[in-house]
Amino acid sequence: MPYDAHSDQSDETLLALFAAGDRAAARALTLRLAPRALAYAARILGDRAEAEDVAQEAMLRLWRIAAEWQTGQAQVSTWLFRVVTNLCTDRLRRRQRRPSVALDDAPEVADVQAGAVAALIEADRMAALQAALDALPDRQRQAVVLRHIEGLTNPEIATVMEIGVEAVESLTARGKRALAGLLAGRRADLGYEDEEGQE
Amino acid sequence: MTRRMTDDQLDDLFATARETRAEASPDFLARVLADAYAAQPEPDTTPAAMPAALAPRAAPPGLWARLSAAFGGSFGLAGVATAGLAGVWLGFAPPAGLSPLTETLLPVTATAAIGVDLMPGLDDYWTDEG
Repeated sequence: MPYDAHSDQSDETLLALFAAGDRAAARALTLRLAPRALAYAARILGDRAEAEDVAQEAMLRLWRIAAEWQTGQAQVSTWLFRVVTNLCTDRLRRRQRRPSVALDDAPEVADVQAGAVAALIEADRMAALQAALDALPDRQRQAVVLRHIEGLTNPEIATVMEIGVEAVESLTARGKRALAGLLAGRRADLGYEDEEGQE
Repeated sequence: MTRRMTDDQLDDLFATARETRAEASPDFLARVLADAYAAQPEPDTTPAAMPAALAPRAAPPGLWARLSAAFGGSFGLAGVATAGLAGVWLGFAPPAGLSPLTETLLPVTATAAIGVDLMPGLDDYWTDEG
């Protein structure tokens, strides 16, 4: 990839340049935003191939809306995270509607979480975290990833998820508590020795 | 009974996660960029095609443009210039140049007959007070 000559320009300025036909702006935006969209989608979906599809689709929507982008309406990155969130939510719902698992045969939530935790035995630290994230309810997972991995502020997350800031705080708090519980049995494997030897 | 992860331990895991994000492969980036080029208009460098925030500021009008506007366009300015040149010519032309015109309109004989002095001297305005 060529050197990003627009590294000091805002996403919004680059988007305007893109809409004016500037190909260097297209490259700069791709290098800046596509990896973030991909990483976020991968955390939410837990599937690399699906995450690439989602990130590519979200970026395509960005390219198509560039000409109509209203200056100051929102941060470009926040808008992109919202699109990725919605696309991921659609995919997660489709997974839940798969006919291969009849409703009566679906395991209880506690069973899913226990299975997820049991699958951590041979996994490394990041795989353990991902498996625990996968076991969270979708909205908690989105809020936790946006806050603690993508580094968005609570007001930004509220915009992305189209909810209030208080709801964001509640989701992240509950998500962290759930993660702490899910990973409790893996503390030693994760590198956190149990001082009391209670594994 | 197992102990829960502490907040510090979770934060440590999150920090590691931030450092080990899913890397974007060259193929993925190439696909995204291909979409970008396909959706992008052809480069247009005319100022009218550029967003207002990005277009270079128009240069202020030059002296000629301002003069032209003040006199109602280039035709008005040409008329003013012609009148100016005519004034300069009359200023330098010898006064005798007016004589044929005067004599044509008012022949000397006629002016003499009616007692009109077309070039009166100052002497006529000096009067003796005594």
